[in-house]
Amino acid sequence: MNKDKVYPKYFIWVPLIVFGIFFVIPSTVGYLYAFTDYSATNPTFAGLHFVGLKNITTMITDRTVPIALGNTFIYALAKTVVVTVLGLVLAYILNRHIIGMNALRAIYFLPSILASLVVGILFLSIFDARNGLVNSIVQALGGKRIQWLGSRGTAVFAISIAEIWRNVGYAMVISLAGMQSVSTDYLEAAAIDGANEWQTYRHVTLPLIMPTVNVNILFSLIYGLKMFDLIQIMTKGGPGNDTQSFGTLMYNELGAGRYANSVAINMIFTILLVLVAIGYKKFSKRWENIT
Amino acid sequence: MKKILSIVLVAVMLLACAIPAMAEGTTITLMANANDAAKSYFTAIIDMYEAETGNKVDVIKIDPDNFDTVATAKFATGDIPDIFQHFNDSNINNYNVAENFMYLNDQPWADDLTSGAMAYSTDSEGNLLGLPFWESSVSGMFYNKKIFEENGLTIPTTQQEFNDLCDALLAAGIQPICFPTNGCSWFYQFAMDPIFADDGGELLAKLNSNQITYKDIPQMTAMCEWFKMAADKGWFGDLYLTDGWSDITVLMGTGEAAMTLIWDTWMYTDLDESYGYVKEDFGIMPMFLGTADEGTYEGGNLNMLMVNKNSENVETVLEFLEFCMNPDNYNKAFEGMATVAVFKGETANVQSVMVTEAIESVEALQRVSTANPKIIGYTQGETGSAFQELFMGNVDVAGCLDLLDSYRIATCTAMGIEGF
Repeated sequence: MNKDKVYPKYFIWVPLIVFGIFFVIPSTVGYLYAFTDYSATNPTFAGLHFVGLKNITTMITDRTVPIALGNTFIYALAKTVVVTVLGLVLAYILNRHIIGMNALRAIYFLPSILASLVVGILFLSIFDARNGLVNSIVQALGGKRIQWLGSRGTAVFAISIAEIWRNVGYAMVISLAGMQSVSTDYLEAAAIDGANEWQTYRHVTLPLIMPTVNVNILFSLIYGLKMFDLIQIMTKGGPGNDTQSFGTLMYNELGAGRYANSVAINMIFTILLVLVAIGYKKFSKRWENIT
Repeated sequence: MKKILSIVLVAVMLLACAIPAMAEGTTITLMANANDAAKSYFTAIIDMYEAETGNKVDVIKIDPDNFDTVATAKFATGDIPDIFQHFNDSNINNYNVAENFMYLNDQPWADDLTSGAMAYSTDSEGNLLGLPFWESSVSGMFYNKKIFEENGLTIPTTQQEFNDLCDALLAAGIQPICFPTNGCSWFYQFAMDPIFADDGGELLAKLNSNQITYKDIPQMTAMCEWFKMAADKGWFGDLYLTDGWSDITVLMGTGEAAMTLIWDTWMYTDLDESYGYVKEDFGIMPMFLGTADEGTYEGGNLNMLMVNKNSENVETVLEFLEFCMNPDNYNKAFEGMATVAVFKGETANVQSVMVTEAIESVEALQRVSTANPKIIGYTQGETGSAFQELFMGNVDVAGCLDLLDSYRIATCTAMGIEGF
């Protein structure tokens, strides 16, 4: 393959058309349902009526939406911060020549290839109030059983732990790839200048791998905001509505046959996601320039 | 030579494909909740049908936790099976019954349904929606007779006596009621039955036309107050917010809890006797849940086989239902099953020991399942969620009723029910 060859622009049209037909148009047109009386009892296009902003105002004034909004941001931020930092730390350690390095890399990455269902069931058993691992330790230490999944604080914590455990290996691999691409020339130059290990890492390695770190942050943020599977498996948004996210809220409306409400929440959520993505893009650019 | 060999091979392959196709009968699809489809009498009747006719029943099993979500989505996209299995509860409205299903009043087997089964399986206009090929259980408060005996406790006859009983059990260090709220939300409909079953339907009519809300019904407030008091006093134990279905057998089997709200068939199909206590150790008494001073039992909820009237296989499906309703066949399928008879010719079933022992009380206080099937927009899941909010203190009683109303009204509005 000739890397210098300039390919004609029309090459892009085929994937663009496919992407447009099968993703952009359906997902955009789908939002129109938020302005109709689409429901399980009225599922056909011919039977739909325009209802204006009714569904959107209904959902915005629903008491569950602020809870879901708060939880969604907690899941996303906890995941983003911890996964990114832990990923960097693990990558830093495993970038050194230590015994069993390859085995450790594989072990840390292992949770990333597990299905959500497996991770959810695993952490359900860890945090189970009756026979869970955590409560067994608590009881062995003389403490009282805790309903880890029975209140907002502890349940959100447990779900976040599961999500972090699942994703930290992935962040580690990306950070590790970034670190291994840093030329040793820079590191040797820093050493000759008398920089210690932390100074080298802070002022040489980190700035050079910043684009990689940004990829980690962006992935964690977006997938954190979209969290659904682990919540559905571990708490189904409960107890009450205490662990709801936008994802589970949409699913609950769908389950109750209130399809238009589900689309309305999805639309609100998409707008929110776009705002976060734009905000992050500006922030990350500034960050890369500072470092 | 190679050409001839190729032609022969192709011919053999085509023949191999064609032979089973010619030999096979018709395949009919049946969509059901995976747990329900695993019932022994259900698999037995399908096996018998397939063996006798050569037809095949392709059972599409849906995850129980997501059953209505998945099934309604399938219906909305036109993916409708030949037979659909569903309880005659309020969720059934989401499946566009009139458009999708055949009314079965004129089927030859319809007269073989008991009056109770017929009443449960019909809509408000008397249309028979499906064949209730199901067990009919009695729901009540099941209690551990040995624990009662050891603690000198007797069966209560009023709400106050029941409350005193719970206090006494708690004082004796025993969890009075096994009350798992994680994914188990049938308790509240038991409490609501007396409210809506006893007044001749007037409250139901007003509620279903949006003339009143739950908040306007004093018994609903009393019910919420009772549940909240019971939770706060510790009658449900300390883990009821995370306890689920699988914990019932543990709590009752080990004797950690003295009572639970369940149905008699459960004792035969789900109680794990290896934990210690066996089904003979349990008795049934009325449920005292803040709405009926004398207590209440709930009659059977029946899962119906509904026929897709737009299916190409309607004739075969009706033949299948006729096969199910042959007394020889259903008696084989239900042999030894602890259930109240659903069919007039049903003789191989047995009455559960618990119900037999308390038959006078059951007959006097049993109510037809009303809240779940008759309140439009009622869902067990959302009701359970509202009560969890109450138990956790996120809302007070008035707030809980507001939540219950908001879920119900949202569904009624989405369904386009008149008055909403």
